[in-house]
Amino acid sequence: MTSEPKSVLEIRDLRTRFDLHEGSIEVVRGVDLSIVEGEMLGLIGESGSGKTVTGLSILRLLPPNAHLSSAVLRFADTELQGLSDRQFQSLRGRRLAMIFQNPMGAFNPAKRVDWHLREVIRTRERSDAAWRELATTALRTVGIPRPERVLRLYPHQLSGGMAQRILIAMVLALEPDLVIADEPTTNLDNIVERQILGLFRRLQTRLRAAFLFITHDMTLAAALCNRIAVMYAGKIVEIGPTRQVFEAPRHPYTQGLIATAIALKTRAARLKEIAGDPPNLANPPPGCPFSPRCAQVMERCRAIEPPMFGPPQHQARCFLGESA
Amino acid sequence: MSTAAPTLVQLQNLSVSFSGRASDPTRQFRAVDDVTVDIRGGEILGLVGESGSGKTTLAKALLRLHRPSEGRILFRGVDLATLGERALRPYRRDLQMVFQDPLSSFNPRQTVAQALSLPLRLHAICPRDQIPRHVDGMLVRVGLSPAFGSRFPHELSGGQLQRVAIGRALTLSPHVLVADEAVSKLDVSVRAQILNLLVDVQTAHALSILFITHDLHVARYLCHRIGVMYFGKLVELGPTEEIFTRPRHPYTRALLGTLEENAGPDDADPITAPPSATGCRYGSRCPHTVRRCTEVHPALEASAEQHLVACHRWHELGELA
Repeated sequence: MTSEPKSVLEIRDLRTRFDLHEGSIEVVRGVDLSIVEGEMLGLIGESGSGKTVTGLSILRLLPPNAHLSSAVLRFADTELQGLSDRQFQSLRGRRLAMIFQNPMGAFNPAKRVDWHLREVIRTRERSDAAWRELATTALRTVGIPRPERVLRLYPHQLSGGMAQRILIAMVLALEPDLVIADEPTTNLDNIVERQILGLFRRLQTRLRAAFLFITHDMTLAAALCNRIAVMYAGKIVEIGPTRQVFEAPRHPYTQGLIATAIALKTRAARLKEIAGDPPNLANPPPGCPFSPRCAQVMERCRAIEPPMFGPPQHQARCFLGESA
Repeated sequence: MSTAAPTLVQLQNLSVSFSGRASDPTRQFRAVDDVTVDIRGGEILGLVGESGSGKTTLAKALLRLHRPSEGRILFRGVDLATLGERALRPYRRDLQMVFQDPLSSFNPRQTVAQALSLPLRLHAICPRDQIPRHVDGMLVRVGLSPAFGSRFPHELSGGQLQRVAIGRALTLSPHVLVADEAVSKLDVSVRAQILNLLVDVQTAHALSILFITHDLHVARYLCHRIGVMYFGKLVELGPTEEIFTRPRHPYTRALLGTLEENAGPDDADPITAPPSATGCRYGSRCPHTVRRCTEVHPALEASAEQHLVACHRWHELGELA
């Protein structure tokens, strides 16, 4: 990167709350993130950590009982918070795209593949004649042979890997500035997963788009992303360049996740466990939410929630990094 | 695991078919196709393969949750494949299962203690007044305090509930435990706890475990032997280290290739072809296909001691292609 890369997404203090019968639960509890063009940021966390809701919040795809607030939620030069739903609609599905875990859910089961691609291409290409050309090119790019035949298929005739490829082809045809991918390979087997990851990498270099890659799989994020953000209990607890996070993790939770992954790989006699369970966000523990499970817990961790510590490029929300 | 471990279960030429569609019941789909494999006493046998390869169907047939269309399931000299429900019942307690999703495998209106005492009552394991003691003991064995007995499934975390599920499966002191993706739905930080627990109970009870997973790291960590399935066929079987260091079948090689340290994303981009209808199922995707492969599905043959592979060309392909 020669000149200063352009910021595509800038988030400060994003909070998302759901109102339920038994009270409200804050699931995203103050997330700060930024992604520049051409960058792939991996957002790692386990179920319930708020990673998916973070993605949905950015795209305004939340159910009516959700409430969102943020200090900054800027996409390129536009502050998203002030936009009306109508204005937002003109960005989403055009400059902002999302790829979901279950590709089948993103298709209209009554329409053929060609209809879906045509809908997407129409958003940027006025002339109707050109769409078929663009559609077949997009399908070829994602490794689908004989695209003319595939265009006539219905979604249920596609395998999972094929459906995910077609969704990626749709994103490709869209040429968005930001792609949010939420566990896009979790339902696929190892071999297809690797092919899809290869596609993501090519898509990234080709489009120079910014990617937010949401996953629970540390090794997957490591293979693909430039930077890693680890989420726990609704907050980012560690963020930094992939290599640094893996080689010198600062947060005990990240350290635990990496230790487990390494123990599995090296077939240690006994796996290192992270004791306990993820916290219940309806009733979060006081202080650091990881403190009940942390082997290095200190007195104040149970009382005060630590802020981010460390140099700007690699930070962790843990008092252990205070002196560093 | 020494070679001396005796065989506990033998699956012989096992097939499970489902009829294709309601409009045409004669059209059969073979989810498991002529699989022969044995499970030895006290071993963890892993089954790996992509979704739809027949791993779960094979396991369910072993437990007789599916009726096999062909083949035999020999357990202590008895063929379970043909037994009726009543004759099967005494064997049910010997073969137990832990499912992928712990929450959906419990009755939401039963407490943990009720769930754990049900098998004790059904099989009349102990006098009624002894049941609470048994239940408490089981909770402790799987690393939970007896206080959990009075809770309902939704009050437990995924990891805690999977502990209860393992406890419930162990209640009847089975000889074989089938664990179908038993750690896949668990949070990453909890997975290690449950894997350690499985190792502990396996050693303590000299259990045989049929462990189904798509996670190759987990399979290598846990299993003594590994079977690789592809579209209903067992294509390779052998000791774990042998499979991982000297994979013979091209599909196994492709699968393990995804694990290589510097493999990263696959840019070669081959297309996922449907399985071949005749000949080797993997023929349509295999880079080494020759004419013979399109005609006959290869039988399993030994490439080394205890290492079986179903490929016409394994010896030509050498150690690593």
